[in-house]
Amino acid sequence: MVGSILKTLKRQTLQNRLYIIIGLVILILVFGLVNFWFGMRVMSGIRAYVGGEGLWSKAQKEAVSHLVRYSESRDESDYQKFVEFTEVQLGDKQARLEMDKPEPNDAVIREGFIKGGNHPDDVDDLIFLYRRFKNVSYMTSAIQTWTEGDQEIENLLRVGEHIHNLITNPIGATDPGVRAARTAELSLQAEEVYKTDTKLTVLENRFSATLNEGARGITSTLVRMTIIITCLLGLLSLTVAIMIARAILRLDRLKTEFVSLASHQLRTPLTAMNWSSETLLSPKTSGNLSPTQKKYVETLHTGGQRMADMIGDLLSVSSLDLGTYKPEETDVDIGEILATVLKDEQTTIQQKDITLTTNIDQNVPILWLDKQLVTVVLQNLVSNSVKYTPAGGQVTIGISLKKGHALVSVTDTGIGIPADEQPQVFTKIFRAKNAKKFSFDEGTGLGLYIAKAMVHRLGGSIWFDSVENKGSSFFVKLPVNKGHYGKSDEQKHG
Amino acid sequence: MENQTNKNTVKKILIVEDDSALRDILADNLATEGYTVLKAKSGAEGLELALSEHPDLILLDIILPDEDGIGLLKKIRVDETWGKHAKVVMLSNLSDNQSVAASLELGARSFLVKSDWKIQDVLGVIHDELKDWPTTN
Repeated sequence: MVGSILKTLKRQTLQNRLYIIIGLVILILVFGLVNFWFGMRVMSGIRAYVGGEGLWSKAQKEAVSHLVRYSESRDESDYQKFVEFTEVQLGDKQARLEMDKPEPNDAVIREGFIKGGNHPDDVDDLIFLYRRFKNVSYMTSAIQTWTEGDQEIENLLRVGEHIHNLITNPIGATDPGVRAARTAELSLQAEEVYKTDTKLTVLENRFSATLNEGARGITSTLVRMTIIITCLLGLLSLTVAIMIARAILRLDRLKTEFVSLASHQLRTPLTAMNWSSETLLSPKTSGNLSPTQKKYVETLHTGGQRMADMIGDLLSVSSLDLGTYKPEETDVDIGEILATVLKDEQTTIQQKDITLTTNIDQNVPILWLDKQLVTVVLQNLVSNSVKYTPAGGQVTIGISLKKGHALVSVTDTGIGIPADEQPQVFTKIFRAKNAKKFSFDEGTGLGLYIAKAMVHRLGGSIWFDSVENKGSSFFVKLPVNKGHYGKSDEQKHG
Repeated sequence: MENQTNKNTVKKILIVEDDSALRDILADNLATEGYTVLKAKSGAEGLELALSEHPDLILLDIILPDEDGIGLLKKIRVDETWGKHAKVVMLSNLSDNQSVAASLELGARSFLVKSDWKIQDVLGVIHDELKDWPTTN
């Protein structure tokens, strides 16, 4: 049974499975609430009956006491008190008899219970418990006791009436013989009252004990139900949590797979296109092209190159966001990396007639970091400064040792970053307005986001100073942990 | 298997690359530079050509339809007489550290991420690799 349910559940889509489980959770919650409501009403009903029994017993004792006193004092007011107190039992009896009818009248029941001294707010609970549980063992037994009690009350009323008749009968009241006989009879009746009272005390105790036993049974059932419901809800919540966690992990894996697929599937044809346009533009073949053809091929080449850069940036972002990039520490000669990066920018630097100054402090040791990350950070900062510095400007790069850290600074006399846009500089897909205007078709708006994420991966920090139309300075602080002044591994082996 | 020969040169380069456009543009450029070019589109073809032709340099793609380039490189290295010291440059679009490390451990000369490189720079690396290197026949 459970096995087949699980099999059916496994065949469903993740979404359907979640709906089914959430449906079950709601069902159990509703069941729990109904269970709680039902339990509370039962407990409240029992409390009302136990309370009602207290009122019933108290009134019964008062009635007995007044009747006995009446038999001695012969004061009519004592008899009236007796009658008055028995109204409580008669009221409850009226309610009981009405509830036993096939078509009971709720107004009659209510009137009876209120006569019995019960609080009007408790009446509904009293009726509820009687109707729902009259066939349940403890309630059947309590009702039986109540009926027996009512029979004893009838007996008491008969005795009371007899005593009243003996006292109020005017015939022979002055005859000493008759009076003596009546006095003897009154004593006998008083004895009878006491006997009835004793019987009633036993019945009253039995009634309370039975109901209390029922209350204990119900409490224990309620506790068990609550434990079961809590366990079920906990189990289902755990299942939902596990399903969601699995779905997230699966999604992560799918994303990673997609990134890998995109890297191969998009990059391969793009590389073929870029290499083809580059071949067409190479001195050996470009002579065969007309100026118009050459212009179009150049457009193709620039577009292709830009697209390759964008894909590279997007892949870096995905890999950083997913945390799939696993840094591998090696010896990193930061000056050497800078030289490679500058080599790539050489053509642009020359074309734009930019004055490049590098200040490399020889005290900076060989660092122990992921080389690829350091390279990409430097590439991004240097290419930004070259890109956004107008022709004839200056770019100054410094590498120094500051407070146990390697500090890289890239300063330019470029367009700068507008003050109001500076807080967004390191966010994803951000390009300042003046940057878009200055170089519309370059840049993905991902470079500095990538740089910041990578610097954090390297355990360093990145910040900048910038004034619009004056220039920018970017600073990167990298840890020197495990750094040394020996030759780097590559230099040693190379 | 295709052969693209330039009679003026003797240096032989094997390209193992499943993408035909990339394979051809690379082969055309190398042929223009005067190399003899051998082309393979799968790992199996690459291994067969490598072991039979003993090229001076192998350009090896990492992702191939039948097996990955690193697996192929391992098989080439098994050949004691020639394969153990054959010159290999890895070409890939995946620059994960594991692939780079595995290739370099297996004695690959360089690991080039294709999309990061201009064809002229790739040719430059190949020229440098084959400079002062005795030709196999």
